[in-house]
Amino acid sequence: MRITDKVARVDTRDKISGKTRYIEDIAFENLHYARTLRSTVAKGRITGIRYPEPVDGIFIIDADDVPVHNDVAMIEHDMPVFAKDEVNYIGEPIALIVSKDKNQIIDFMRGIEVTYEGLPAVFDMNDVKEDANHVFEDHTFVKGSIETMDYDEVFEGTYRTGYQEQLYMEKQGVVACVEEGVVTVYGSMQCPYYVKNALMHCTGYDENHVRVVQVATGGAFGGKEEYPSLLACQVAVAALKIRESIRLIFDRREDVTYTTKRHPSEVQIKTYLKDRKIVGMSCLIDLDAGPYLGLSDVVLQRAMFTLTGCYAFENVRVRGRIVRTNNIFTGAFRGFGAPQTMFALEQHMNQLANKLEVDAIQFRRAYFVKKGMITSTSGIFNEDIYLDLMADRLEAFSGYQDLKEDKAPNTGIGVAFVPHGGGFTGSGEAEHIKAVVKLKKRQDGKVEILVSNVEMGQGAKTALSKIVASVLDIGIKDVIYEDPDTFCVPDSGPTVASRTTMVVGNLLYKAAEQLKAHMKTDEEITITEHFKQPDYVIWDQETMTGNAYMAYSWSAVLAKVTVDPLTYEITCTDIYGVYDVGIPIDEGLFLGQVHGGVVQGLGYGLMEQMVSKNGKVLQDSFESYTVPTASDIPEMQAIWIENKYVDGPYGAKAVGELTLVAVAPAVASAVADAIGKSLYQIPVTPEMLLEVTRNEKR
Amino acid sequence: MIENIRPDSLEELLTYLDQGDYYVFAGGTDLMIRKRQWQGAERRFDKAIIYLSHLACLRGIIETETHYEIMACTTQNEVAQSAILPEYIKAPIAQMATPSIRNLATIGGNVVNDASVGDSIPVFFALDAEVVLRSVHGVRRLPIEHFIQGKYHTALQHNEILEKICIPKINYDGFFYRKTGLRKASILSKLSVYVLFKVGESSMEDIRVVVGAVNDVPIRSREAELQLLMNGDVASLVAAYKNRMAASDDKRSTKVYREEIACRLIDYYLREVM
Repeated sequence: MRITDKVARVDTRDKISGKTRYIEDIAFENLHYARTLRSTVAKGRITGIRYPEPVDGIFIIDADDVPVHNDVAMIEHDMPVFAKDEVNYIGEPIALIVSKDKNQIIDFMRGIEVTYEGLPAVFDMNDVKEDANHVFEDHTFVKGSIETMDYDEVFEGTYRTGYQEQLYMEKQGVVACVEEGVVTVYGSMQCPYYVKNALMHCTGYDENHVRVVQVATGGAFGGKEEYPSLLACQVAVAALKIRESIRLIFDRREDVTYTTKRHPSEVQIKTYLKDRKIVGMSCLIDLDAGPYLGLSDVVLQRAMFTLTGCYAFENVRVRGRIVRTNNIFTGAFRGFGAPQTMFALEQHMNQLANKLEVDAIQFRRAYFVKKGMITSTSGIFNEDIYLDLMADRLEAFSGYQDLKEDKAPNTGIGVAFVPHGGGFTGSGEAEHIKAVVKLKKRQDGKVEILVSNVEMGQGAKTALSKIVASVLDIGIKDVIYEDPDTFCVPDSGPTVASRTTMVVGNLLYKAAEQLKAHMKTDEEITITEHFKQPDYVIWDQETMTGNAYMAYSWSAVLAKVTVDPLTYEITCTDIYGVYDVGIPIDEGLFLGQVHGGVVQGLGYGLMEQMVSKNGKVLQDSFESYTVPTASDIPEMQAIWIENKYVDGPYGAKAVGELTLVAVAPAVASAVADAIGKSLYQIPVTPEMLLEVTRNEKR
Repeated sequence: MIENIRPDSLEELLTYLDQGDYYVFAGGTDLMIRKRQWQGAERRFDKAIIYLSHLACLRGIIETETHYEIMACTTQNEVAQSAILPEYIKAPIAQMATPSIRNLATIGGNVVNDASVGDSIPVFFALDAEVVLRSVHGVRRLPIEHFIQGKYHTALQHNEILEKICIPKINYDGFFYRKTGLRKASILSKLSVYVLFKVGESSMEDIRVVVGAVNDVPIRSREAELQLLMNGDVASLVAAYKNRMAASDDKRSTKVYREEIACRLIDYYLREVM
């Protein structure tokens, strides 16, 4: 086949016919169920746990059962597998209660009493962000000099975003078994090797005795990046203790209430102008991490490195902090820090354009980055960048000038331009991930992809299979790509950071090129390919200078909204998007990402309100945590420019996260345009609009 | 194990209810969620369940000369799709919940459950509906406003069932119904406003205004409606309704929003028709 051929997704038939088996559908011998005993206080010392009289068939698994390390290996080791002595958030796991009978577990748990000595808890990061004891990380990078530049005007804004829940269709779920001295964890996950590393650290078992098998995963969006490591450790500890298969699957409310969310943020932006032109920008980002660091430092760095967006400013200072609170633990979510800062920046740019009375797109053009320019982290933009062309396309295909001139009452338009760096930050791909892929031609002529990247609904199996099939000019059906099993596949890295197609796909592309010569023979042959950092990526993590990303994808989005003048209910009627993702591997997959990203971004911008009160989220179910329904989804139109990326397979760059990020700022700006007021917070709700207009009247 | 009883007749159902304490299960769409403990585990029913939706005598819609009678176990979808019922009854019901819920959930369930966000109740308030309650000892007929006593609190006795809802036929010229929620479909109300009117030869002859989901029970002021018919002063009616509002802040909306928007909607609709 050729890369330009249209393909049906390779996983669709089994999924829509019900053949696909998710973790909850798989039968295990003598399966035991586990349910989590959770902290009911946000911060406290555990003074006692009183269990009912022992019952046959009931097992209690807690910190004392952990073989080696009672902590989850992520970047740091600060999060316990089971809370011992103290708890740091509501819902923190203290123990697993295990039995073959779910009703027995419920009855038993009803009799458990945990007593705490409450300690002062922090629920608002603003209360403690100046206290170094409550700040996990505090980074600053500088370009030029804010101190010495010449300016005559300052424009400021403070922008806030709330939690967002991934709301994958399939909830968190893992199963652990112990067989012949090997601990195996099956589960719904994005990163089999993260889970494996966490298991080795927790159990002390070596790599030959820990096995992780990803099973069909019904959505993840980052929610199954780091969190499954915690669950895997818990069930593994249980399985090692009672030597039976242990299954832990969350209920929906449990999943919504206690698993990682997108970080709430506050971003202060100060823009310095000279003769009405931007000469510098300084920013302060604060993220609420909850009680443990988790991936928050990496999230913060992406938030910081993305902050100047599509623009080059001479003088930049960006400071970012991660604040420790006793709210729910926050973590990875599609966009990974960028949705927060891009909401702030793009809202700010539109407000500044309004203030200067210039057109929002025209205003941006003066600052668009181009090839060869210096990035905010003092690296160089190496690839061709066509933001002007994208702006032209957006204006043309949305009918921008007409939209502006014939604006009906109670309607508004808003734009946002957003980049997304593909792959890990800086030299992370080369230094931390060190991806390895294998491509095996079998004796029957079929070619097997051996990578640790997972299909989670995003289309990885189709995209990677298509790349391999196209290079080898074979049918996509002749490419085999099983769900990864760490006993069978090398570590090609986690399925995150929009890296699967661009980075892993490129390694497979290279492997397939080498395999070509062997396709005519009958022998079985395996090609191994290792990631090599391109020469143009130079990065110093200490000073945070250099090329923060290998290559950027770009988006330009326009939103149209109407606001009901009576109820302030908001309807997003149209989204127009122009994208530069290099060259899409597959049009259908690309549009799938666009549509999904638009809907998830729309929810983030308009409706997915999640508020934590005294450390517990109020919106804990489908009824109150509202994602868009078909009735809420706008007309979506997407076009793209082709801009071949030299180190991407067939010229492809990152897609997955990019499509979400620009939507909320565009929609929020459109609402601001409709009501003629500035907005500083998402989600933009009717309640907020009422308040904004009432304050005006007073 | 949970005890389940499926009576063969209305008489048998009423006899059971007279002699014991049961969860009465109609559509079950609310009850099954409320009693949920853990997916795959038993629901937490601490008393036996008695089913009634299978009894044909409790289903269907009857039109008499003076009334529409909706039997309690008629599903919300059957109401929304009814060939008999007028649009001003069907339209609000058609916006409740989701298609799959409406196929199971009953109209009687929505009334007896008596949530403050039960969207059928404001309609019955506006239409002066009466509920017919039946036990082995006989029949009681109550105005809906007497039946609904508070949030999740009705006048239903433990040995009674709601048999049907009787809605007097009225002459009307038009109605407005507007519900707002966190999104456009599949959502509970933040607030709802229902207005029904009849224009006479020279002036407005009949007008009914009900606000749902703001207070624990729907707000309807007959006095304010009458005043409006006499003096045509919309602002006074809005003020009278506003005076009775006692909304609160919760995870769906705010007190300020609910009260202010309800007032605006009433004001807007009434000025359109007056």
